[in-house]
Amino acid sequence: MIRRSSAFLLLSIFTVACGSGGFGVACGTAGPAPGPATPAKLRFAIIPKALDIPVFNYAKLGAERAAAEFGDVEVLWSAPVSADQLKQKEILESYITQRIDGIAISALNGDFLTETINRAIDAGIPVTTWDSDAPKSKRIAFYGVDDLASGRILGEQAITLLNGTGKVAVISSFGATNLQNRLNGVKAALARAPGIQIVEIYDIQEDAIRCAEIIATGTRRYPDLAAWISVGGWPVFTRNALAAVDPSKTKVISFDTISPALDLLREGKVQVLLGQKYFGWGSESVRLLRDITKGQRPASAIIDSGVDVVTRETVDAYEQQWKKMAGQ
Amino acid sequence: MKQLRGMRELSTVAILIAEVLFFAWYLWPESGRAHPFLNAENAVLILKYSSIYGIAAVGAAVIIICGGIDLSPGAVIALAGVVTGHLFVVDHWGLAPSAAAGIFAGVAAGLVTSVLVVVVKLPPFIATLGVMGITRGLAFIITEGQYYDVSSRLGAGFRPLGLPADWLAPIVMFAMAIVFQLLMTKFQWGRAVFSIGGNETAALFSGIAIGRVKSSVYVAGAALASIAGVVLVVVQGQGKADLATGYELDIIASAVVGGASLAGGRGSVMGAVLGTLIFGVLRNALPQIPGATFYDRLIVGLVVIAIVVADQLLLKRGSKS
Amino acid sequence: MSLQFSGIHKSFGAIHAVRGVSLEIAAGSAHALVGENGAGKSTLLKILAGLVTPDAGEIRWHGRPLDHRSPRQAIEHGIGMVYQEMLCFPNLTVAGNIFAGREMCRYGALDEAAMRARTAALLDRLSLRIDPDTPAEYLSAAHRQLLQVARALAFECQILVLDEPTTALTDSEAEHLFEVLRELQRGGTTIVYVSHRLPEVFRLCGRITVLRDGELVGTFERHAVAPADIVRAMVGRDLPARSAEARDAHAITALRAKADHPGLSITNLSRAPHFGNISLNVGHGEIVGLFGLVGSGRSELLETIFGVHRPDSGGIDIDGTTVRFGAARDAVRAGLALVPEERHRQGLFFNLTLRHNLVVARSAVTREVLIHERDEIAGATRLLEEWRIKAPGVAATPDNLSGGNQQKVVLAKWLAAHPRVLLLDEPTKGVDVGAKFEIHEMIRRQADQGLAVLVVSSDLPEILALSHRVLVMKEGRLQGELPGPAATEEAVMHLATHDEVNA
Repeated sequence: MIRRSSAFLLLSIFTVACGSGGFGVACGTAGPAPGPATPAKLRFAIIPKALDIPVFNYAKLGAERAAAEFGDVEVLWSAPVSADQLKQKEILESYITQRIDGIAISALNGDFLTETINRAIDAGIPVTTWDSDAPKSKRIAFYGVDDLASGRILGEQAITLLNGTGKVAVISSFGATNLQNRLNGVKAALARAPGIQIVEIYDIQEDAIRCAEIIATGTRRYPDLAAWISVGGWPVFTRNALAAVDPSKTKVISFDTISPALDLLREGKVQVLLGQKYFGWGSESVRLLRDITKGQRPASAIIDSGVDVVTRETVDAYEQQWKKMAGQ
Repeated sequence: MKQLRGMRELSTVAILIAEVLFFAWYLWPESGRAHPFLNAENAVLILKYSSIYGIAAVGAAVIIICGGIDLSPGAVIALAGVVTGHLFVVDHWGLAPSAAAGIFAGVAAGLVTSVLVVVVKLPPFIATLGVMGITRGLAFIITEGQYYDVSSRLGAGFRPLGLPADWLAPIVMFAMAIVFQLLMTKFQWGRAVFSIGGNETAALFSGIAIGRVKSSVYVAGAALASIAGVVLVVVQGQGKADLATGYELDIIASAVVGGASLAGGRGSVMGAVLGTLIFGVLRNALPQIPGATFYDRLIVGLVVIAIVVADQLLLKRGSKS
Repeated sequence: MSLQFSGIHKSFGAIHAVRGVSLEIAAGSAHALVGENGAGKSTLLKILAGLVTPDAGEIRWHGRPLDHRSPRQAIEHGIGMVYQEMLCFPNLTVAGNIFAGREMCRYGALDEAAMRARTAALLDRLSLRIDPDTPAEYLSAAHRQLLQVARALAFECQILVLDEPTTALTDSEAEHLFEVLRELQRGGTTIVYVSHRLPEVFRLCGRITVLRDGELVGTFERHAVAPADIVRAMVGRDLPARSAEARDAHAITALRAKADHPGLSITNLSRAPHFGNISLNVGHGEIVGLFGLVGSGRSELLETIFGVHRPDSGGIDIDGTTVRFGAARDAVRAGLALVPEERHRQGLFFNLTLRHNLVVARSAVTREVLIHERDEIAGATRLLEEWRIKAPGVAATPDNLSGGNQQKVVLAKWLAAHPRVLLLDEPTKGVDVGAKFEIHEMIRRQADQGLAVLVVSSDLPEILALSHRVLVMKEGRLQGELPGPAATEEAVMHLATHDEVNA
């Protein structure tokens, strides 16, 4: 009896050791190192929509670079593994109860997080948003593109490219508010060109592979499609997503300039790209939070980061800028 | 049954305590700051989020002990939540009738599962896989991609049954856990569940009503999942068709960590609840460690494997080879 | 030149299965190992087969120590095992079965021709007229048993170990097996023979070793000892034989009882392809024995009566009322009990304690909702005492018990439900002599108290010892009925093996 219970106890300790040892090694910490030995740093939680969306990796780089430059900031990059509103809220709430120094979040659903963000503010934790806003909340600032406006730009670029006539298919993902706003912008712009007909609006559920599938089946289904418009960068995140598209027949206008998008642009597979301030999401958020902590509030709550319209002509200059920001 | 169960539950408690102690130590703050992890607010938070898994894990444990498996709890949570949300927000029903309807929808899904498993004799894995798809699909059809803002109609300061909203989920979870722990240990029905899971042929030959007990087990599991769905919608204020996607694996993992053997005949309801707390603590503590949220899935996998291996070794040692 | 066991010890948890057994088996001899279940012979065999490693002691063959830790290594050391349970792959052919796991290959691919030739040679050696390409599922039980022998022989084993090989064989088939074994022995193979059937042991083996409670009691020369001496050594006491008068007196009381309470009555029960047109009745207080060899459809008959299967036609009456069972549950509620043939698969819950195992059937009968723990523990403890079941306690699980004690648990569980009709399928299969006697006594006592008992068995002495009347079944049909005094071994065997039908 006693032997059995001690065996169980040993095994439970062993299990926890396994789990914690496993991730301790994985985190690169060879042994216990609770808390920094150096003077206290400001701990900021930067929360993207999910860990598996590649665009946000640049935000992480930007945030970490800014933190390194400032020297007194520690960045905690956390999110649910894949887009799950409830799990994102859970993480946000855990930072409130764990007394973090600042939060910058890209909200999957801003309205859903409004109450929680307000609680954080009331508890004295500064909160900003980036990329996707929670406009009804008490968040101190939002840094990102004006989704409606950038959606409009996408639509207008399409009209110009197609000379006002043709069938277009739109790609979006229905789970996020900011994407919905961009979609609305596209639709508003296209409504002003009677010759342009939207044949279908696709939901690819934040899955780049599904995007490739849809482009393939969509091209087969609409052989005379004049253009693909995408409010997110999924078609240009991989080399193969646009394989089915014939550039002489169908144009592609897409959000995001993350690699290999620029190469695709050069090769002529894509005609227009809209770039966001990817590094800025991270670095600007860190800077904002740090300023707020030191008592400086931004002049206006909405900080429009602006978009870069990139075409074959301007791609080289754009890439130079990019390399500078990536520290290469 | 009793002696083995007690030992196994003890080890789950030990793992939970060891985990909490580990994070308490690892996340120890520099002097002057409050401990981020060891405070009452954080504990309530962990309970609040784990309870949704926990309520469904009670049902999962019962089903697994009976020798079955259920892949549909996540979808049933969503369906129940969506039905409640729709009736409450769009059709302006009262909260109680909406909740009742939501639970009823989940129970209906459970009835479909039980017919498929008991009458049509499909393997439970396949049957519940199908029901998962149907249920999730129904949820999407009802909502058409939109979501129901339940919190707007509930209003701020909503206190379900007079309690702070954050407490509702844990209270329901513990209530359900106690009810089912009693059913499993003090009632003939519970013994029948263990018997069927341990040796279905012998149960048949012993005169146990196998069809009836199996059906009840799947209906109970679905009822619990739908209760979780209703609680989720009321507490979080939002009903959406894609809620609880993928939760079934965490729910089953919790039951397994709590002592349920997928071979059937062994397990514990209390253990399953402890299992959800173990994973809840993990989800809560990881974001505090830089770069650690990436390892959430990895650690869950490691823990489950370690537990199952430990269970097998102890089983072998306890019996004659 | 021998197979030597020195100081072998093996424990499983709290059970010390083998205590310091030292034994020498001369090479080229036929040596029997006998003992009750729980005596340690199965463990000793498992050690020899490489399935279990001893805690202490060693085995030597021709002076060389054999330390094998897996069945494969045991085979490499020249030990061939023929098990009680049929280790047969029904989806493979005869040749496939013989070479399963040890196929002959040529350039990395299966050498079918060579395997077929080898198989044909082996079958010839065993005087079996079977085509090597026959799928194993078409073979009779007897042939499957011999197939196992062939499998062991396929690799020139030097030691052939047989564990209860004749359970499923008729007398003539068993004799055939013995001829083969004698010939192998003449060729130099050492035979280790484990069996409960003393007549066989005496027929085949030159030396008999008796084990009891894990210890070696003694090794006897066959011609120097009588079966009764062996039984005494195995059991440690004398077993009274049941007198013919006592049995007949019992039969008369039973007949009297039957007139008042009809008990179980079956009319023209059929279920293709297992059995057809079975009519019989069992009165309260009567023990009716149903004898038949493997494949006669007896188990299927009992299971159909019990409601596990639905019959194609025919009726079942209990105490005058016609019943139709949709499931075993209905039969249990109507007062039937079935002690099934395979207690592991059909009778015991290994994930539950003995207390639960003992109570399960009774709970199905009463319509209780709650579990009354204290009452159950008290009741279970009482049952363990009544039946003299050797167990660590009511909180133990069945896997800690020997075969005989496990069977007692199954019987106790059913009798605790107070059935009106008791169906028994091979009630003492794999059970040691002592427990066998106790079980028979218990059955008789229950019958005296009014239980109607139908016993199905292929153990002729058991049938004769227990039954007031003997029915004989062959290939799904009733061959005849023999009232108590007329039921002799020859008469029963005659009915069982011939195709006449007589009253």
